[in-house]
Amino acid sequence: MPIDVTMPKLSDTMEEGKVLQWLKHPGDTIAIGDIIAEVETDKATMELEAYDEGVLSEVKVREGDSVPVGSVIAVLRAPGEAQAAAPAARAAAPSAGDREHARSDAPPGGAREPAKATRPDPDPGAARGEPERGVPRAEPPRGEPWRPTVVARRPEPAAPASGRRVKASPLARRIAADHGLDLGTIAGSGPEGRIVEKDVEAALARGGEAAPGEKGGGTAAEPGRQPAPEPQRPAPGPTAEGRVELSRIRRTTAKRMGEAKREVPHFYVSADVRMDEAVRLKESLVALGGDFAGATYTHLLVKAAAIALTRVPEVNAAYDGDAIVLHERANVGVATAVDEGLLVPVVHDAARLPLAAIVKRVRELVERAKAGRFQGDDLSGATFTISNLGMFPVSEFAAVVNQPQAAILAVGAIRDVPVVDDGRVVPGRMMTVTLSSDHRIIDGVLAARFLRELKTLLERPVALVV
Amino acid sequence: MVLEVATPGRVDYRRALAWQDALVERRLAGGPDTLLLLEHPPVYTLGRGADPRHLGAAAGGRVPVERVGRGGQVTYHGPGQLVGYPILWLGAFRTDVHWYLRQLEEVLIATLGDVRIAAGRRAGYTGVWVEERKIASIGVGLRRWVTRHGFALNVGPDLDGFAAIAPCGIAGVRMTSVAREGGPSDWAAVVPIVARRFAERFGYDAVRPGTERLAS
Repeated sequence: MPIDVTMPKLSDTMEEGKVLQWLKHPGDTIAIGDIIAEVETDKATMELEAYDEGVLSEVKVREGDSVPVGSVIAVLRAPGEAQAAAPAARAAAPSAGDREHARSDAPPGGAREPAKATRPDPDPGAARGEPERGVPRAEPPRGEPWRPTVVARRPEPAAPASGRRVKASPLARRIAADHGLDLGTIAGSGPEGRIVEKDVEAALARGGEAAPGEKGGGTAAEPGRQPAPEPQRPAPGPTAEGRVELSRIRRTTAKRMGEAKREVPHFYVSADVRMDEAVRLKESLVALGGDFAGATYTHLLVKAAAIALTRVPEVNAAYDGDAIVLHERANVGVATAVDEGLLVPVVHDAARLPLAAIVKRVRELVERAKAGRFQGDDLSGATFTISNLGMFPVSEFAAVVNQPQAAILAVGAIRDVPVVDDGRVVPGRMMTVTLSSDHRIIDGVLAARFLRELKTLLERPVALVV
Repeated sequence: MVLEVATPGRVDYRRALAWQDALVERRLAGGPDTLLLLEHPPVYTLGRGADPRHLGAAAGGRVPVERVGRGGQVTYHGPGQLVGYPILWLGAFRTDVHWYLRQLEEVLIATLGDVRIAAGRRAGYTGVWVEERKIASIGVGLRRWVTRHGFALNVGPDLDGFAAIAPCGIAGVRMTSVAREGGPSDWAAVVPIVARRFAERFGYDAVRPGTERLAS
């Protein structure tokens, strides 16, 4: 089984390469993808990745030595396989302690004589009828071409049903994993029954998942793979009335926040809003009582944001992998802190609700959230989220986009500050809002237009009452 | 294809290393190509295979010394030097590291042409030269064909940091800079030129500012 690791050809004009550093040593267990060494040519170093697994049994080149491209620089064996190394080869294998010593002997910038113990076996991989081993394969990084669908990490290679490790080339494994194919169901045509790329492609063509092809529309013409399976999104809450287990909340929030920060290209746009009129309005409403008793700025914000979303509909959107989906209704979620974490109850179709209805709905939602009891669609269907920290001395902040929504509005406190009116400095009440947006869905101008509409509505808030 | 260009100003060397690692991972996960253009406080760096003797008097001095995963020997980075770290996946271009090094040289040569400095290559000595004086150094690392590290173009007139070492392992090489060759002395002025020439040479359709906040 011995597998030769060779000096890779990193360039058409590369004739030899230098082993700079061994990162694995004889006796180490090597898994696919482990970096075994760093090699150098000209002013470039490459991390040499293992394309097979096994135990590193021999290292044939000392650190600092240059060898021709294609020379064997190390050998992998199955655990327990006998080693047939000649004594000379063993002497050439560096030990960790030798490293510094060897380097200080090197003449500056030096190419030294290649290690005498080996003469290169030109391209041993070719003899096996497989692609050259040891050459860093020019595969696209995970997820290429880049699309906004969620691909968090490389899926584990499909384990065959029999539980036995199947022999397959790394490329074959990746293709199979990408398409969710069980390697155990594929016959291998390579040496020792090894499954190679063409075996997997043949299996796909026979009726595994459809082979990758052109995707129309959406992103600029790039061939696309089948989208990766949707990551598990937590169920937003029971559909029938019931008690949400609050211990799940923090776990869910953590997972979603991590995903959002990893996957969403956030950008942030802020605006200062003169809240003088809104303050007067809110105080009048509260004084009115009745339906408006307990009116808060959050209620005004929900209505204002909803109307702004109808005026800039591209912000009321989501991305489904191929196209941007514009929602018909503005369902505004209100980020709410409860003992066990963060929940986002939803006011559906907020643009069409009178302010009084919004006040009532939000009050009910918040009560249910704090009691841990939800019903119906309390927690689902939000197309936009508002997070208001204005009840704290927070001047501004930026929230994390609540996927799959396009944006989230972070609201700070209303502050008494000097403002300029008609060329004179007067006291005024300012509130800073920050829109965090998913740059895959909306761009700066859309975010700015949304904020302009929001600001206009809040600064002349009479329109919000109806 | 889009190139993100981030210009974070003066950044500590180690922090920039952490950023590069994060950007490499982001690229491997399918994110865009990025070009970081920045400057460092004074630091000496050694390539993985560099001979530490080239450090000369700089070893054991006040200026920190870092050994990093790039090719090449010892060099100096400091204020007034424009450092560029392209994080690209060469698979979208050519998986050929020598080609990539030549492309970086061409980007810098074109940039210098834009500020009226006639620069060129010297066979066998990767980097950018004005006659026999070295004006830019190059050293890259690759992980699964995603690039890191990159180039350093001397802009400002102060080259004292190079005095102690044998830059790039070449004894007796004379270093020079954009300012010393009659060009602008402010590295920030060169930044947009480099970004434009870089995007042209690699054929990007669009350039956008890096908006990700790079966490260390």
